[in-house]
Amino acid sequence: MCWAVVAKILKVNGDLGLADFGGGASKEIVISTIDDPHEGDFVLVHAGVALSRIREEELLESLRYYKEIKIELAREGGLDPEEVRREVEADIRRWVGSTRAQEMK
Amino acid sequence: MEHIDKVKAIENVYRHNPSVASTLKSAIQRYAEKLAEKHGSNFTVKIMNFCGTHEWTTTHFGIRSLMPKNVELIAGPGCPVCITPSFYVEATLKLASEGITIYTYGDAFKLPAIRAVDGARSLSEAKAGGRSVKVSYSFLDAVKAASADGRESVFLGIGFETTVPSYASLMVAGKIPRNLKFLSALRLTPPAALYAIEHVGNVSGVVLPGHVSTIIGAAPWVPLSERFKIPGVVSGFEPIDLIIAVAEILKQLVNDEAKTVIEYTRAVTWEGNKKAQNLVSQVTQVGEAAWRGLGFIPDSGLYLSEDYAALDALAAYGIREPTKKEWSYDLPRDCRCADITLGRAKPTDCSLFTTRCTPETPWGPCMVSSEGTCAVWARFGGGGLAEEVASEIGED
Repeated sequence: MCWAVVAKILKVNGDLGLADFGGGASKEIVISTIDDPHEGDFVLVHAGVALSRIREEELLESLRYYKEIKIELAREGGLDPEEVRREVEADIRRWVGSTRAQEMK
Repeated sequence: MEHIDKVKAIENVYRHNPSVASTLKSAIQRYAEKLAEKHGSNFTVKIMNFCGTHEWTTTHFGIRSLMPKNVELIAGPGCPVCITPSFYVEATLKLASEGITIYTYGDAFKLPAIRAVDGARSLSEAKAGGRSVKVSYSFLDAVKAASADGRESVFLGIGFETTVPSYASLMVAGKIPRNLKFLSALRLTPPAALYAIEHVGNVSGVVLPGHVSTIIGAAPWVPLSERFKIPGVVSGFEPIDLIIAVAEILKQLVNDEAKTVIEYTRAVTWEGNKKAQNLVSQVTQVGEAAWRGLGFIPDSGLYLSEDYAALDALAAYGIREPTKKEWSYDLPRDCRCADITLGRAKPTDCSLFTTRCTPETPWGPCMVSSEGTCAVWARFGGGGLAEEVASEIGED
């Protein structure tokens, strides 16, 4: 029951706010649980309450572990780790279709 | 970033990504081989999770079938519905029988008590018998409904740290109508995680609950790594998040490390959500508390603080909670939910599993919530079927 989904705050109204859950779904949620909520903030919502702000700059950060592991395996297998690093970063750019992968460096 | 769908598209990178999954699977295989070389072929790496949503992801996406033979993913105490003592269900059944409206999350609607009260074993049966029981998506919805109808009402407040701010925020804001009382069955995960690791033994690493950690932060998990000398990864809930977490744990084990790290960086920080923590500390106080089938665990429950005692349903209706001395075993006969909660048994080890006990007619509490270990395994075929399929395609 700790399921949570990402939503975007559309409107701030004191302790409450209207949130867009994507796909045309919106609902009133409690936003007094996070610091300084603003329209346009992306938040993680559980049981009608904002748990935390989603940090855009961290969206792909978890793949850093993947990148490190892939480079380590390449090194063990006698491959060029720099080439593998470039490949992984190109993959990430392709997946998100943006230059966000630059933030991984 | 213009639209919510873009965030969701990036999150999708963690859901549908065969090339990353394949690389991580190879890495996991390699690390498992190294650990077998190091500790012998009989050594099994047990990795425990503490969140029903992690168990859901693990089973739904068949992640166990990607694991080498010597890596076992086990579910620990991660489902608040599964561990909510029967006493609270019985208390709400009694109140419902006296004409009080009970609000509950859908997850707890079918939660069976060990004893029937007024002919009902669950709130679902009480509703079928004509009592006023209402299922809520959120506490806010229940507060609005109770304010509108003015009826004497009680909210069955279950949940872990993730859910507590939803109650605390409205209590601190003074939004609770006089006719709505709160029955606190709130529980804390780090004390239960500690209890489970001590009782199950030989846990080599832990996947730590990402959404609980959005509130409490990753810091409270560090003592677990330090005390048991095991890696801990605060993980997100998409399949790639979880496979990364397993790979990271194995990597640390190969390198003789035992660190707590955050994989779910997009939502979790070391310090957590201070504002939510402050709200929670205003309305609650920590105390020893009972867990269904397990008994009392020190400092594992949240009770309403003195300042908010007027909202306490048990006090308002003169119902006294059992003390540690008065507590009695509260699982049905033959139900293995306590062992399953502690990771000492799998659902398929229980004779009731999918025979007497099914998601449609749950007999034990682990079969009730959509994230209860038994319910997850019953729906998605964790264990037996997944292992058989993996074996057939040579992935055992």
